[in-house]
Amino acid sequence: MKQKLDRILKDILKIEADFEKINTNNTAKWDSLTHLNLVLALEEEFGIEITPEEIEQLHSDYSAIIRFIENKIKAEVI
Amino acid sequence: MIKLSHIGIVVENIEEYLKNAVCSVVKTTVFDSIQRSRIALVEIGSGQPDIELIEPVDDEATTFNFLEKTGGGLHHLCYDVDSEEELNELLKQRGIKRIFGPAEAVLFGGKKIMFGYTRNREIVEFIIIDS
Repeated sequence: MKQKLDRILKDILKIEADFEKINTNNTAKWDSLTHLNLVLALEEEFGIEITPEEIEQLHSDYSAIIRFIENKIKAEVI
Repeated sequence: MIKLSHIGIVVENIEEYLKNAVCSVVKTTVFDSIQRSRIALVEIGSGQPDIELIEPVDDEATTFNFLEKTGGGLHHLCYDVDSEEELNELLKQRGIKRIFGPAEAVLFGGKKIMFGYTRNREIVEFIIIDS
């Protein structure tokens, strides 16, 4: 999952970085439109649906995104 | 029923843009405090969609980053929808993500507007006619 997320972040943010250390506050390119591009890419890559309320939760950092996807996949399987 | 209302273009300065624009008949100009932008509606012709020129006034404007990144240009297409129910159904069917709104828009006489983002990575606006 981390490999997939790294690829998505690299494609969308168009930067080389240690993605585990980046977040919306320390990455200028991570603006609101970029965030929506990330949300759509996550939906398409992991076959999940992200609600408007959940989009806000993803605004924190890398580990939060990983936790969110894992929980979402689990919930959709159950 | 859905109808194309206008085409939104972000510009650095409305008056400068109009000097070289194909269509330059301004119907109205307002300051939108929510978008923190000056906005002008330019007429193309009777029965045709308008052109909306959006000039961000400071770095808190909703289109400031767009202007910074792109230098301005085509920003969104705006559609009229009859009701909020019709809009919600459309968002669900097409997987459009809500960016902003519904909120009252001074440019459209207080009618509610909403901005969304499509799966084609395009910004769209909707005017809710019965609001």
